[in-house]
Parts: sequence; structure tokens; C-alpha cells
Amino acid sequence: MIRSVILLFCLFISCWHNTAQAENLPLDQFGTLPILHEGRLKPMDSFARIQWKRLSGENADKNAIAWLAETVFDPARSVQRPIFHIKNEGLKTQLGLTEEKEYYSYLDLIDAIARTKETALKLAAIETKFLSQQQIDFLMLHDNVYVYEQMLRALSAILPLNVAAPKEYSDKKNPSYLDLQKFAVLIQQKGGDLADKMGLVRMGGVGNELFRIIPPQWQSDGKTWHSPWVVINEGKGGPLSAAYLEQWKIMALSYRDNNAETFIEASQKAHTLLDQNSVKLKAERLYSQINPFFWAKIGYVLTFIFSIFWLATGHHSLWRPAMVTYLGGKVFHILGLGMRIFILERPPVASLYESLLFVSLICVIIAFMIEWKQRKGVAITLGSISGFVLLWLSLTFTQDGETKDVLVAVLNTNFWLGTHVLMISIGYAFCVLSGLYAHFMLWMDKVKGPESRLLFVGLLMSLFFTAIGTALGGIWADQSWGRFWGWDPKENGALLIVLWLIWIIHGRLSGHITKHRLNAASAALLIIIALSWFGTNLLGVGLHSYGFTTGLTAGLFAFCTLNLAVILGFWYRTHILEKRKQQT
Amino acid sequence: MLWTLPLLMILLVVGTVQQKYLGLYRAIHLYFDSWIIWAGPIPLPGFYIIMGIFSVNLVFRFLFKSPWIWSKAGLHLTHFGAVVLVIGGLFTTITAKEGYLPILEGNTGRYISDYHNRVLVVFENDKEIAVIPFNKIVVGSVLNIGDTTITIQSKCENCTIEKREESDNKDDNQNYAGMAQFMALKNTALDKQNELNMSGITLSHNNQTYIAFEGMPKPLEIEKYQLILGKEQRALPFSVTLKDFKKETYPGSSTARAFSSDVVINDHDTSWTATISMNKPLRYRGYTLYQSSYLLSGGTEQTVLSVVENKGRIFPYVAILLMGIGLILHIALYLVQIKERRTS
Repeated sequence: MIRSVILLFCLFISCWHNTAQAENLPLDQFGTLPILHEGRLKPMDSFARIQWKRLSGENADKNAIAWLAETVFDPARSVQRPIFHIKNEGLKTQLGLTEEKEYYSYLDLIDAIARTKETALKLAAIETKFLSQQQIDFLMLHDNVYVYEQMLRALSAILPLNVAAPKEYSDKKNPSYLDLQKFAVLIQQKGGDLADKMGLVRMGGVGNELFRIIPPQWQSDGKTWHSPWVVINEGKGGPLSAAYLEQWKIMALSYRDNNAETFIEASQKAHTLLDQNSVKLKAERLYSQINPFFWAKIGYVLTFIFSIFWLATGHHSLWRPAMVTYLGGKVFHILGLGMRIFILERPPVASLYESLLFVSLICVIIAFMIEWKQRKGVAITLGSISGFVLLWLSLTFTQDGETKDVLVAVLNTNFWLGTHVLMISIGYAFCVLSGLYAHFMLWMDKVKGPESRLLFVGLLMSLFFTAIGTALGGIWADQSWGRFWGWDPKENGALLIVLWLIWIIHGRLSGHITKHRLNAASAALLIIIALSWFGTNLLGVGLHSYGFTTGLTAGLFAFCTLNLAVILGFWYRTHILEKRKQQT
Repeated sequence: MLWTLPLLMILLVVGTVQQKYLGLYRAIHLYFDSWIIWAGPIPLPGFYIIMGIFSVNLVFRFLFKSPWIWSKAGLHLTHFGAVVLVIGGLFTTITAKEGYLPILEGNTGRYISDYHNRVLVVFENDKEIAVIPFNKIVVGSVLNIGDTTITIQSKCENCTIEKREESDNKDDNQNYAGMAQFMALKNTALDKQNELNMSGITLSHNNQTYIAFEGMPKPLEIEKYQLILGKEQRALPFSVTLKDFKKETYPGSSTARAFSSDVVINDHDTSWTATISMNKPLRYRGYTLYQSSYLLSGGTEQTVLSVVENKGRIFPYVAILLMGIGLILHIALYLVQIKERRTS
């Protein structure tokens, strides 16, 4: 049944005439129209980027919005566009995709998808951990196709049917399903081409609720926006939604005629009709367009190059360009975080991804303050390394395309997000910098030098923020679950950092740990931080479930072993140097 | 200090990683709620021993070895905070009680169930006459129940039921009575979530074999006695009526935004309304009621409140205040010192 519907629908859309390709249409206004998606009102542009990333696996660029416009306004063209990324060779064979390529269009896949629907339904009932990678990819593809189909048919009710309709039903030249809906029963009784198409379009609209572009019209809807099909089928509409949909229809028609003038006019009218405050939507689109963290990374890389040359050659004239690029990177970094706070209306850290953005910024700021006093080029080098590496790591967590998720119930408290989470993040930042600086000390410490007071202050600051942050976490837990401490992995991770810091600080003070050992132990802070920050989330148990991740294990293990090897290498080198000195 | 901290850290790492394999409850029990950890035949110090040495060390060093001078004031305050934290932790471990209170919408709840402890409760005409902890029940022993006895044949911490005819435990010489005629208990691997384990006992009385099982809806009847195996229950000094449970989701999605329970607290002759929501518990008479989770049973919503009785909850707050102030003071004094040294 499903298969025949899909095949028929496929035939049906392919017989739409292909209009002149809509190129160079200004999509700015269209891109900031609001859509409710995953619990949050976002601009069409963000929705397009998320779906683009989801289907193609590629990071979205400005083409995403053009692709979305084509998909909803001109489905017949969209289905030919290779957008589905299939990597798994086994899956390609399973689906009988003989043509060897990376990206497939909906038309390429439609037969295979329809054929394997039953298998997908069976697999979907099984827990993910029992599935092979190919099965997971297979299910993902089915999901993606389903989402794509929802977009493809999102506006099918208001698009022209391209079939002759008697004058008495509609005086329009090429009426849509919505134009003829009043006479649906009559048309059905008469049968024929028109009845068939009406039936197909109606079936395509059943359960189509992804494209939530119509604002709530009735009190009972609360804050829930609806898709055009839900409005039509469930009577959720009102005068406003009718007028609004009319503008969407004009947009669709002018898109297909490549008429820029009417397209802009209609999208502007749509904005006016909604009368929504669109500053946030515009800000979010701007955020995606600028991509501030990309520029921040560029800034930090340039800084690193300048400062390394400075350290190597001793040319003090390099201080200025290094500082300028560093400040430039920092400005973009702050801008990015600031925009996120403005768009999401909450403190900036609620996921692993966001913690990376925030911790890297704190590292950069602390390093900047130290550099401003010292002017030796060391702090700025370490600051640019931490800024770049942490921002680069954050890309790992953007897989599903959306990084601005709504908060789960337990995190939905700005007070604790603003205190515990920020404190512990600042603690992480101090630890990262102290760890990096300890590496530098190990590197410089050819034989014996004066003890670094800076490192020790860094360790004390790390201890202060991680200890207070951990304790505040305990208080949050006491407020929310009634126990201060529950041996949850993330809690234990934080405690591990605190104990490690207490240990090395006290050991150094009591003289049990020598200066050189302190450097090594501080350098190992990076390993402790990595385990606490990411390692605990890999376990997949405990309360901090919003941050559960998979697939990082290998990377984490590699990092820890490598870092350990580096520290031991330094250690061995000092050992040999000291021996040689004694001999001479 | 120098030796206990690394041990503590190793214990922490192992105990945390083991949670993935043993589940939270058993890993905590084994590593953080123990005196001795057996690695095969070798006894290793458990959390209490390490923490004990650490605490004694901390207290004695603090009292007798500290240089009592002003420039170290921040440090003293911090260490005093640490001592308070450790004492508070000990106090909480000994005294705090945790449980949960499930209430159906429109119903009233008074009995909190323990998350972990199971007991066999014996009633005579609806009057409780004995409570036997499940972990004290020994296989092969004979228990006195009122004026009669039962013999424990076997027990399992996590049982599944199987048809008696298909069971390996079917013994034609035995007479099965009650539900035991139709089903047998089979021991299975423990679930990682201890709450989900289903305890069970096979017992005999007057040459008849019976079973008692946590998942059984009706009590087991032996002569004039009713036996119920289940989680240990404690009565609250007041009762709670659930008026309404609310789950609020983000518009157009299934992600929960907030959970809350509108309740009425009844204490003797007075009653009043209150709302318990995520991050906003209700505190009354030393008990704290938290929104823990919810269930949908037969179309009716059921809230699950966790109930905690912890007289030591003030300790961490005081400790953190002391440590926070102490650390700030210390860092300030340290910076002042550096400045003085530089200027001189």
C-alpha cells in the first residue's frame, strides 16, 4: 500500500512541468520567516541548515536555504538533486544501488526505500545496541527519507495541481488542492484525473506535521505552531492563517516563475502579517552566516604562527601582530557566545558542545590577561593553542546539525546553569592552561630553573574554581534530588580533578613532590581533565545523561596515551641532562 | 595524606568505571560503601578505611601541626571546612534515609518504599506481626511465623517466573500449593538497576511448597497468615494527596520542559496545597519531597516523589561557605605576599 502510494506520488510529481530554474532569487526575507522545530522557534535558514546537514552530512552553507526553497516550492526539481549521503558500501549493495556514487537523489532511492519499508519497521523495534552499523545506517536513511518526504509535500496543498478543473469549482487557471477542497466530495463522486490527483495529494498530507510555519490561531493551541496540512485537515486555521498561506502560495508561484519582484513582495507581506518580533530570528540567521567561531579559529591560528616565530626568533616586533590577531579571534569568539545567549535566552553552557565554546573563551581571556602583564609571548601562545584546539574539538559535537537545543527539564534553571556550570567551566579553563603551561615548563626545564610561581597560582585558581564548582553541583543535587553526593560518574570526575590538585599542591608544599615532579603532575592535569570532561560521558550511566556521547573512546584513549608519552619523554630528557651535568 | 589521596583517586576511577558494568547501586556498594574490597583472596582497603585514615590525618594535622599565624588564616579556614565536610558526610551516611512515594492522581500516599531493601512482611488479619529483611533470610533455615513455622528452600535476588511443568525444579515428590502449582522461580542475572530486580523465595510448610515473589499482586496465604515480599516501607508522619500531575513539553515536540505535582499535605486535622516541581522540592517536618519521575498506569497519571530524610544536609552548605571564603582569603594573602616580596 505504502509502496504504491509512494510510486504514484513519484509519478505524479514528475509530471509537473519543470519551470524555469529559480536562480538568484533573493532569499533573505524567506530565510528569516519563523518555523517551530524541535521545541524552538527558529528562522527558516536554521531549519534548512539542520536538514541539509542531516541528509547530506555536510556542513551547511548558504546553499541550504536555496535547497529548502526548491524542496518546498518546486518538489519536482528537488527530487532529482543528489542530497542523500550514503557512505556504507554494504548498505548500497543491500539497497541495490548499482550506480557508484556518494550522493543520491530521492529519485535514485525511492524504489529501494519502498521495497525495504517492512524491514525498516522491524529493525526500528530493536534497541540500537543490538544493531550493526549497516543496520543503523539503513534506519537512519529511512528516517531521512521520511523527513525529506515531509518537506517535499509540506506545501502540496497550495501548489498548483496542473490538471484541468471545471470552471464552477474554481475560476483559477491552475487551482490547488486547497482551492478545490470545498468540492472534494463532489469531485470524488465524479472520478477521473482530477479526483485521482486530489486523492493522492490528500494522502501525501496525512501526518505531515514537520513544517510548522503557521502560528497558533486558537487559545487551545497554546504556543504550538502547526504545519499547513495540520491546519487544513484538523481545522486549526483562522483568517490570519488563510492570509498567511496565501502569501506562501504567491511565494511558491513566483519562485516557480523566477519572478523576484513578487517573491520579495510576498515574503515581506508574510513578515508583516505575522507581526512577530523578528530580531532574534534575524540574529540567528546572521549567526549562521557569519560563523563567528570559524573566524575565531582563524585568529588563533594566526596568533600561534606569529607568537611561535616571536618565541623562536626573539623579534619583539611580532608582539603587535600576534596581539591584534588574538584580539580579533577573541572578539569573534565573544560575539558568537553573546549571540547564542541572546538567541537562546539562557546561560551559555548546557551541553558538551557549549562547554567547549565557553571553556576555550575563558582560556583565551585568562591567557590574554597574563600576556598583557608579562609580554613574553608564552601566555598568548598557550592561549591560542587552547582556543583553537577546543573550538576545533567542538566540531565533533555538531553531527546532527543543531547545536542550539532546548533544555531538558532538569537543566531548565538559569540560576544553577549560571553558577555551578559556569564555575566548573572556569575551573576547567584554569586546569587546561595550567596543564599546558606545565608542558611548557617541562620543555624549558633543561636542567634546573627557578620554580614557577605562575604555575602554582594557576593550580590554586584551578583548585578554587573546580572545588567551588563541584560543591555548587552538590548543592544543586541536594536541591533537586535530595542528596549532596551520589557517586555519579560526572561528580566523581569533578572530584578526581579536585583530589589531584589537592594532592600535588599539598605534596609540593610539604616537599614530597619536587619542582620537576610538580611540573609533570601538573602536565598530567590535561589527562585528568579529558577523563573528567569527556571520559565520564562515555560511560553512559548516571544523571548527566544529556551529555552522553559515543564514538569518542578511541580519540580519548589516543590523547591520554600520547600525552602520557610526551610527559614521560620530557621526564627522561631531564633525567639524562641532569646525569650529564653531574658527570661534567 | 600523600598516600591516602592516590589510593582514594584509584578507588574513585575504578568505582566509576565499574558503574558501567555493575550498575550504579552495586558499584557504589562495593567501592564507596565498604570497609574492605576483596580482589580475589587479597583484601584491599575500602572507602571507609581510606577515608578514615585520611580524616584522622586531616584533623590531627589541622589541630596540632598547623602554624597558627595570620598569613595562614585562609588555609586554616579551608581545612576546617574540609573537616566539616567529612564529618557531615559521615553523619549523612549514618543517618540519612531515602525512599520513594508513588501516588496515583486523586489518591493519597503515606508509605514510602525503600529503593533497595526488600523485606518479607507477615500479617495476621491485616495486622502486621513480623518484618524479616530479605538479606537476613538464610536458605535452609526455619522461620517462626506466629504459632507456626516455614522452611526456606531457596531464594533469588532477581527471579523470573516460568511455568511449573517446564521448570527444572519440578519434583514429583513435592506438593505445590498456591501459585507454586503453576509457576516456579528461576534465578537470573542481576539487573544493573537494583530497583528493577525482583526478589523471590521458595518455601515449604506442612509438606506443601509455596512461593513468595515481589512481582505478585496478592499476598501469599499460609493458614491464617498473609505473607508479602516487597520493598521495605516506612510510614510518613503525614500523608500526601496528588491532585494533578503536569508534564509540560516544548511546543511541537516531545522534549519535556518541566514536571510538577500539585499535592495536598494532610497532617492530623490540617491540610494545605503545595506544588512540587523539578528543582523545587517541598520540605516539611524534616522530610524533603522531590519530583523524581512519573508513570502512566492505565490512563491515570502517577507521580513518583523521592522522599529524603537527611538531618545532615546543613553540613555541606557550611563547609562550602568556609572553604570558599578560606580559599579566596588565601589567594588574596598569597598575592599580597608576592607583592611585598617584590617591593622589598
